[in-house]
Amino acid sequence: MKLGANSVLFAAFDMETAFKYTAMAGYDGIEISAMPSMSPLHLDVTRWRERADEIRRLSKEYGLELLAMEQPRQDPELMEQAFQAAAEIGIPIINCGPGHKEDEGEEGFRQTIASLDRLSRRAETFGLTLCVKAHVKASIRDTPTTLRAMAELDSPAFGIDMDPSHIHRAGENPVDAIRQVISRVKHVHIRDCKGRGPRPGTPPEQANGRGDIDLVGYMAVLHEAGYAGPVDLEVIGAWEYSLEQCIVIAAETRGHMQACLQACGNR
Amino acid sequence: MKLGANSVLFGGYDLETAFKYIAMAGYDGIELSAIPGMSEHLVIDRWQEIAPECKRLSEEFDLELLAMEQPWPDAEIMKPAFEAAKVLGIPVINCGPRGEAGNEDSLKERIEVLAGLAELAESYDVMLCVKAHVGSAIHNTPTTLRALEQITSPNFGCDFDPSHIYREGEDPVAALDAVMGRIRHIHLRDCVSRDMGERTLDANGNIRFQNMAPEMQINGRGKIDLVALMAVMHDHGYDGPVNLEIIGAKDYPLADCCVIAAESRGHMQACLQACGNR
Repeated sequence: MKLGANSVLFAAFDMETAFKYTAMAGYDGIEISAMPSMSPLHLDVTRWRERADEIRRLSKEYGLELLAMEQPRQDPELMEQAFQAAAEIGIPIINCGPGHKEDEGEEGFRQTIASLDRLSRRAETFGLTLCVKAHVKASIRDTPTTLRAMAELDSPAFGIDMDPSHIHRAGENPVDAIRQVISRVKHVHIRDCKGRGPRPGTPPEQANGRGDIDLVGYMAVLHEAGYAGPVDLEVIGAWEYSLEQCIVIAAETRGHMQACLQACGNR
Repeated sequence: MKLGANSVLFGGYDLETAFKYIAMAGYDGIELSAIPGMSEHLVIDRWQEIAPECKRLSEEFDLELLAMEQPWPDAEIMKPAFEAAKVLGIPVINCGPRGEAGNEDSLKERIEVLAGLAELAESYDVMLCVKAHVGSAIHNTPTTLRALEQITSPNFGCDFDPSHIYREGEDPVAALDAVMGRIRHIHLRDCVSRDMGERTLDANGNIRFQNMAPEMQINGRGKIDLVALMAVMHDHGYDGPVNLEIIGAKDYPLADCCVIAAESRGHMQACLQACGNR
């Protein structure tokens, strides 16, 4: 497995700061945040050509593999630019959200599937993987809806981004849930979660090991299934936190993941 | 178990900085460094002046005062250290054994000195712990067992530090099992090699070993099986302090010290969760 962190953790700081401290915390790679409303100093895919050289330089300078990009919107024009950026920069995976809301019912779900089908087929042409995750209160929100999406989307460029914090808040046990979807998992977003939500807790409470999710068991299942892809820490909402607090969240989580992998014989 | 960090990791910063970031990293408590030259934290010569600040910081940052490290096994320095510990409610004082490895006379002399200090500790109702230390008279499991056999005071315990045992060529997991009954404190860190590597002086005149940079000592980055080690502690019902002790970061930027503290705490937390302790 390749351990990384989404640069959105360092949302208030520039991209080099995110690379510097993600590397210092011992990660193998990084997920680039392309969420301008949350991390305005990181990647905006509408202006990706201005940032491509810098991202490649930072990757090389800090020894961090470019594991993924998070561009959450399924807007076709925006995603086309994200695909172009990823292909040009060398980022193999794009993670997006499921789009439609739970309260849009079956019609919302059908529209999500149609959109993901079109985007996955477009991702194929770029040689990229498009991943979607179950998200609290979205059309794909739990294991049953994830399994339906898996059954209906047959593009080899489509994958599941399995995020245990959303599955936990859906009232499930992520250790059981990961076993059901692992065959199509191509990316893992990871963080801990206090309580069943709807919010996952404050950013410090989302550091792996501080919450209620059995992340030791979760990582063991990933290992037993032979999963060798990226596991990226994704902590949203640290915008107002000090640099040291962001560093602590990154480092504490990396230490926790390292021990989880050592405990199951993966490292 | 109570997870803590020795304030010496933040040796280049004041005591409040050490408390603030050790708390931020999620530790249960702190070990106060009374190590001259490496920190200006609990300075034994001025302990009465510093004690109220230690109490305030402990309350403000909700960190239990788990131990004090005062490395000199010398009665003149140890007496005020015991007094400070008693007043502050610090239950354990850790010191080094000193002496010379492989020298029988030195070992006997060190055991005698430590026995005397342990008797002194009894009068203050404080626990004196000593650890096997590379190059010292007590340096491995056999010499630790000798000391534990001969020092019978209930106020004497073993401070187990796997990084020293590992560098002695032993398996720390087996070694821990051998001395577990007398362990009253654990110093924890990882170690990338049994060989400390080339010895150099840095720009500030500090001794540096190639394989002992502070970031190499972060739990999980080295070769010690800390997952198994913490499982053995749990299996034996150990519920005392486990304090991260990283020497040599005095000149490090604050961010680097934060990484070392937080990554090690995350690793320890997962180790305890893996064996069902948390």
